[in-house]
Amino acid sequence: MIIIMLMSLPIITVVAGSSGAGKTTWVCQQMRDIAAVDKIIYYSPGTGTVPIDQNRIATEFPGMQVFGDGQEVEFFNQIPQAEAVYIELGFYLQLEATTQILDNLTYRAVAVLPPDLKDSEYHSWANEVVCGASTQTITAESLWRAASNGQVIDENSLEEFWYEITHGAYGIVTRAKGIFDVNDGRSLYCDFVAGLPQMDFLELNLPRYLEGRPQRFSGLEVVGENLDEATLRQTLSDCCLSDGLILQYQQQVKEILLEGEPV
Amino acid sequence: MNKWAILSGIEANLAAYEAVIADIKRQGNSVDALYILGDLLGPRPEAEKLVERVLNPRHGELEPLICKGWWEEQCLILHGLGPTGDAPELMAKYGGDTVQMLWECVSRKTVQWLRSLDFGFFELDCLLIHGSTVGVGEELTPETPPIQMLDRLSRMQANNLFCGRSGLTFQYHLQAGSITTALTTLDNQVPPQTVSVVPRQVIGVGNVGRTPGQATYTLYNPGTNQVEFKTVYYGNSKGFQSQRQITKSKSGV
Amino acid sequence: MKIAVMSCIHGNYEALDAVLLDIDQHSCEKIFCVGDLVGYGPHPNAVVAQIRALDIPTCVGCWDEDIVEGLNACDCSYPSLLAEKRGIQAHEWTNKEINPENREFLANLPHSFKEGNLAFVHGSPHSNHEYLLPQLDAFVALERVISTDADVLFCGHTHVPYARTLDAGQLQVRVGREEKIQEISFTSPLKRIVNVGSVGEPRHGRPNATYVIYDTDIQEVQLREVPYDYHKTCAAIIEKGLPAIFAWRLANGLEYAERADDPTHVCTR
Repeated sequence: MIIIMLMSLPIITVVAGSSGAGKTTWVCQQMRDIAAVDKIIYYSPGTGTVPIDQNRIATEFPGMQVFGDGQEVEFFNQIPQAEAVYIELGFYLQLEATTQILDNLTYRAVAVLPPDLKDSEYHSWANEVVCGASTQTITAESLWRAASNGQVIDENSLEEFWYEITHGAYGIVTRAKGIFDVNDGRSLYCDFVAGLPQMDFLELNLPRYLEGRPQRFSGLEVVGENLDEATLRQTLSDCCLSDGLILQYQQQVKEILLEGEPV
Repeated sequence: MNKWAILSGIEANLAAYEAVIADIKRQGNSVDALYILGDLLGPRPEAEKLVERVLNPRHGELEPLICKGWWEEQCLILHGLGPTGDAPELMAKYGGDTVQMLWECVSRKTVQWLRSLDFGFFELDCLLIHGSTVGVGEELTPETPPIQMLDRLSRMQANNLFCGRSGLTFQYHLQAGSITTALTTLDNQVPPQTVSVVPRQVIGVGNVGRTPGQATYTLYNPGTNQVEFKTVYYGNSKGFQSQRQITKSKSGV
Repeated sequence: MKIAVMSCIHGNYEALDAVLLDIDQHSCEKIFCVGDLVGYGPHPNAVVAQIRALDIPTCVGCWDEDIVEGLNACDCSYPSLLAEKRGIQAHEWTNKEINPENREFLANLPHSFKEGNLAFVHGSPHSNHEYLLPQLDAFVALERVISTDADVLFCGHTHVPYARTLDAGQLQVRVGREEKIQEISFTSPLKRIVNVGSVGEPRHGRPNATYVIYDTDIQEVQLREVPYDYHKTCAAIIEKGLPAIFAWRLANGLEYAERADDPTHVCTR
């Protein structure tokens, strides 16, 4: 009986690594090989009210179970039914402290790290080291987050703001990511890692939101040095559309879609 | 063989409008679109009747596509709904009595309807507008310099510009042309390049209501690019006759 | 004779100073300005005072008009909400800062002026909000020059300098009217359109000031790029309470707030 129980537990993989090395990307690559999407669990502690990765992953793997802060009990309860469990530990978490909660479980520890990083705490912790993107690791980094649920961001303003963030207008930024609802109802994913080629905004696989203020997650996370948090917050706010403009844009899109034209 | 009937300058002349509609009916099924390029209003007592007639086509008549003209703009200005607060052109050209007439003959309800009118239409490669791409008051005529005509066409990237401000029927065909241009910027120098003109034309569509007893309008075939100017005589002395003038305008002829 | 033509100073006194020094070093006999003395930059009064002190013939720019008329005349030239909000902040700050004498000076500036066969406008002869970009249809560009009756048209507004020649323009026209056909030929001699760039708010990717020197004897255009200590302007922007992002954008050769790139954009309000 005990043997049967042991064999029925899923493989748990805990992924850690430095900022921007490619933890989430690696996790997604593993998930694509698993047929039963609803039997996969993804848990990322420490993202608070700005669960960007969880939301991005959830749109790419509809049906998958995704958990964040405050959902630990549910997460543990779902483990026995799952086929594969991925726990991603953000660079901002203390490796030792976090892995203590996982002491009751058997898992494989994977570190995704830049190729030239040697002899780090990740190396002594991991069973496996995966070679990730060549990013610089800066020690004195701070993290700033803002949720923007219910806001619609003007897309042209977002492009300008993103350019400013990624080119040092608000501090030396090493990592930035965000999910935003824009004028025509789409949800866009933005990702920046210093030193890597700039990525275009990615349209998430979500339906267009055209009925007023969106009832879904959006938000921004910025990692860097000397971050001007107050101006970041104010500028993000300046990019948000008023009720009147939201209505106007959504109305236009609805009309275009009715005519069967591309938006 | 579908043609467009293009009218302008009805100027509230109901009899003239009826004459033209009858003439269009005589074309049979070959006309499948009716454009009115502004100035359907004018300082005449029957202005309201004309608006009602235009907006209520009878059985077998086409629903007209109407855009704003100079007279419409004057009405909007008088009622405080225009882009400017006063109408100096109106006063200077026609005087106080006309202003009074316009105020009395056009109802507020009609003026509200005028606000919803388009500035012009863009169909296939044709721009249909009262004045020009610069404004409702600009008069394009056979005397307009070629470079100016080309500019007005280029603003909307149209090959054909139909207008009615001048009241004249004409075909202004820009057949060919070229220019050599070179550019120097801070970091670059682009050597001289010669650019050619794509043949295009401006067509004055005539005037329906200004001249008593005689109305002119235009038939256009977008498939063959053929333009026909039509003159319709109406009233007691002349009866319902029509004269046709055809101007072939295929390129290369 | 060499003349210097500048534009779009936008309250950037440091840049103007450097340009005037450069003009002096190039022995230019006359100086002209095609507007936008104020807007965004931290020293609008100093700039206007300098232009007045040197008696530089100037025509009114769209920003100067906004300050005089007390409203933002052309919101549609901002492609984004963010740029629009920043523009409004800049307008409000400048409006408070400009002194009554300088405001009066701006109010009396002509829309355009001519000197011999040279014409000077801010945007285009038709509108201060029209951008005459280098890729504008050549015949449309020719129309703009011809409409001023000049041989050389100097303009600003786009903040990126260029010199364009329009030569051997010719058109063949056939006019049909009441059974009569008339053939018309149009030809045009060499015309030029010269955009003089921007002294105070560059858009060409570098923070340096730009202006133009024109030699009337040999009809030669020289596009000048003048480095200056933009850090001083950046420091003043922050010290005077203008949005700090303006300082960063200036230092990176970006305009303070994004503009529309539509070649013949004209405000239809």
